[in-house]
Amino acid sequence: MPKFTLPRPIEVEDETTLFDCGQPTLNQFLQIAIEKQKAKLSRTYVVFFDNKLAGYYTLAHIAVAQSETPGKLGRGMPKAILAMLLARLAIDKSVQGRGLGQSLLIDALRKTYAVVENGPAPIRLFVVDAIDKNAKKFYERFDFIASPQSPMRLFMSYKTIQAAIEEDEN
Amino acid sequence: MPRTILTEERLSIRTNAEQKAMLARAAKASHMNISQFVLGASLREAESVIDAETRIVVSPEEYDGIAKLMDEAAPAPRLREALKQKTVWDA
Repeated sequence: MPKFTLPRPIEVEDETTLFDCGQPTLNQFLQIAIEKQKAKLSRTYVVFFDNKLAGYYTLAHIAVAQSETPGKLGRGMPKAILAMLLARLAIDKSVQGRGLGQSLLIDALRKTYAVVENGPAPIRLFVVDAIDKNAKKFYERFDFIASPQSPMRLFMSYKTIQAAIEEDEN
Repeated sequence: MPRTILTEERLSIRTNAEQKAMLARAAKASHMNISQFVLGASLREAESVIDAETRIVVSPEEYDGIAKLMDEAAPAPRLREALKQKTVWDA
């Protein structure tokens, strides 16, 4: 009986061309994921099932910045919030509906928690970009809050993640 | 104090005569040699590409909403429930 492997960072040798989650842009991203990882722009974690790439997610450190408002100059430094962005999460069609998506999301949150708790990463926010309405519903099922202004982008306070993980550990 | 910049790495670029002449002209107009000109211009472009990938720019209204959200831990009962469940690789 094949088993899902633990998520690990993507490697050059990984076979990625057969992956099909039903979203061409998410399939194609795998071809450049290594380059992005080398350039330290993002980190992609992969899970295998039966020696085949079953799912992945991509995390990136970002800053959420406020656009400049004309007429409101001189308010000091431009504001920015440091955040972790879950830029992509995708599951191969052959293993959809088995809970891998939830497992990957939880893994991404736990990894973010580990990064913040073990080092100087003043992250205050977790941001998710949903690719479509179904993806958005998926994140809302875990209490992510959609932005009223950009409906395909969802947020969760880092404090929420921290409190939930620490409660779970006790 | 003048800053000493160590340039130990080499980058060579293939170009055609027309492109090179254009770069030479622009470099001259900027009082730089071609090397300095090309490096400066491409670093600025690189910075803006990286910046576009590592920044989300939101309106002041959205920013204020996010800032408010971020100050407190929300109850998130469904997230807590999901954390209790086994992951598919542990099952």
